[in-house]
Amino acid sequence: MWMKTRWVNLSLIVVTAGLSALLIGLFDFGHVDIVKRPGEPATTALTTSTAPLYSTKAIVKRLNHYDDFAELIVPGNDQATAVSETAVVKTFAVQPGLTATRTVNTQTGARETCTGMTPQGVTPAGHYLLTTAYDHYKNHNSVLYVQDLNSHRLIKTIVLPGQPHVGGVAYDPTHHEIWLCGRKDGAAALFGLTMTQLERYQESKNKPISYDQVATLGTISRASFVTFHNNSLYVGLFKPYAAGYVQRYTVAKNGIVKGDDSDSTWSQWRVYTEALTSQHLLRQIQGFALYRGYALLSQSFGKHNSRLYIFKAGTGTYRQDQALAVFKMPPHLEQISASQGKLYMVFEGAAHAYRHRSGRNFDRIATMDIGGVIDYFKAEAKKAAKVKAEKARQSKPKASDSKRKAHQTSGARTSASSAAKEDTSDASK
Amino acid sequence: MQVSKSMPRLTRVIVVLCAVVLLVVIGNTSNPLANWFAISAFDWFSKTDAGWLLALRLLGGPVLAVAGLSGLLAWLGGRPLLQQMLAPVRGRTWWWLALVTAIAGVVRFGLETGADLLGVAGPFDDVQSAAMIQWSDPLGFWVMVGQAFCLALVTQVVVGFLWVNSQPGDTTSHWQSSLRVLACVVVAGLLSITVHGGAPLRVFVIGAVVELPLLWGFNRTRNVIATTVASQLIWQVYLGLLYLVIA
Repeated sequence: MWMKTRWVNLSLIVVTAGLSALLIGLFDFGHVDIVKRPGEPATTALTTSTAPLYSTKAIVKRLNHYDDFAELIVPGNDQATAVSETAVVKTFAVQPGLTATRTVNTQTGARETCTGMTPQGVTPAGHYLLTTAYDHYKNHNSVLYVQDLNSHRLIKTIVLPGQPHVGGVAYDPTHHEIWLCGRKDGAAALFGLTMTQLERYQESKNKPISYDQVATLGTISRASFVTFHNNSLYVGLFKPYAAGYVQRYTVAKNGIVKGDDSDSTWSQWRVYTEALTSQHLLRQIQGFALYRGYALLSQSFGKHNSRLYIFKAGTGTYRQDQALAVFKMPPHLEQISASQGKLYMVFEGAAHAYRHRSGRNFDRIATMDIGGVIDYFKAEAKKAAKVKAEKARQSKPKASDSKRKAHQTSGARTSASSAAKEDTSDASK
Repeated sequence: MQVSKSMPRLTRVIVVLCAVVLLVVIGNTSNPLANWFAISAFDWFSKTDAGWLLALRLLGGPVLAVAGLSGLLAWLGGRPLLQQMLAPVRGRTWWWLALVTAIAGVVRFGLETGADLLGVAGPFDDVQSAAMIQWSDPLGFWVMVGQAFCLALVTQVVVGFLWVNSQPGDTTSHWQSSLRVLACVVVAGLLSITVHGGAPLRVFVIGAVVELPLLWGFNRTRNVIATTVASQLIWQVYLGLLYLVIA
């Protein structure tokens, strides 16, 4: 009897443990934790999604509508061997969080899964690939996705304070500071995060990250995109129907944006900064990058094809007719970032809000051989300079000839006049 | 009704604990049933067309849990167990119960506030949300109260069953009593944890500590429903006061 009871007890425990393991294995711990909100699809996902929305084949098919772009794509990781388009597309990082992103409800602070995240910014930062996104449906906090630069494994999803549009993200490699675009008290602002903060952030804490510094930009109404170049931050303004502009702010030796420290008792730096320079851009500019003396501008609006412009940097005003090259790109191109010869490009078209509006959506962070393009333009510029110099050299002897001729003529004239003078003097004599 | 008269006490306890484990796993994994019932108080807020279907979803899970557990206990213990857990409560005992549950309320309120002040992340402010709901939305108020009552009842039924069935005999040493109390509060703490609420450590500690006065209350009254009703009533009074402070 005792043995029988023992076996019954043991069987009960084993069956319960087995059923529990089966349930946990099949469904995992957690709940669907969003109720269908207007526009936002419900999900049962409890982690940030990393799977692609579209197959490699579909992406390659879309890519083939853009010949120049297709020719210039390069592997998104350090696999330099990928040669075919399909092989290259396979190396692109998949944009995380398009179908589900773990973040917090802005109103309640509860941890939830958001299905309306819309990617905006991209930049490589050290060993990481950073992308930003905001919730199109305004229910959840904006986020910063951290992926491994080479393997593209999603390391973490950082919840940002509030719902900034985060149109741009930039990395200052000298001070290991990550800069994000946003708004503070109704004004355009830049928010800084240190790499240490990024690495130490724990998703399980369920709290938005605290910024290391906040710089309110005094001379720009909105910060739509940002890029870091030569110890300066270039912050741009997107305008849909008029010329946008970009302004430069220098970064001090200690890594903070130069400006007035309005309240030094705060734990964070809060500065008010004025731009050093301002340059006008084309309209509908979503991203701006500077690379080896060239300026790259991404232009997109609505479901139409995007454009990538290449200019010689520092022309003051970037007008369409001054562009060295214009590439047709897939729709919804957002921020671009140049690093190590590659141009990283993020697209918002695969976000839920735009997914059904355009047929050529990209859910990958594409990489393009910008180093090769710049090399080409540099070689062309060198060639042009050489030709110019040759022309100048060839035109030099002609000039000396004409000078000589002129000299001879003037000499003749002088001798003639002196002869005439002599004649006159002789006559007078 | 009682089918398992011959079942040993240990087996009965194991059956109930296994059922509780399964209940917790079913309720906290992302299976279709749990997903359908997984609605938070804030979802009530965010829905402008919150109606009976949402109320059913909010109440469905806890009601099913209470029904399932009660059925199992009735099958296991029959009338004797019901008598042990649902003894009639005399008039004067209600006052005593009110005092004990008030202590439990103060302890819970203090621990929740203390954890907030210490910055220990917790389940989002359901205290405040419930407080806000209760005066502005009568249906929301009763749904919230019903949900909280059913969830609390599940915990009290399980703890009460363990308490009753762990009675060693006529002579009980302090050690045995302490171990019984410890086992009961640990189970209560564990039952408080849900994936929806988050912050498992905070929820466990608060759930376990608050169970101490409630267990005292049950030991005296031997009525799980009375203990749960009293504790929930007192808690609603606290929430009402909190609402007045916030408003």
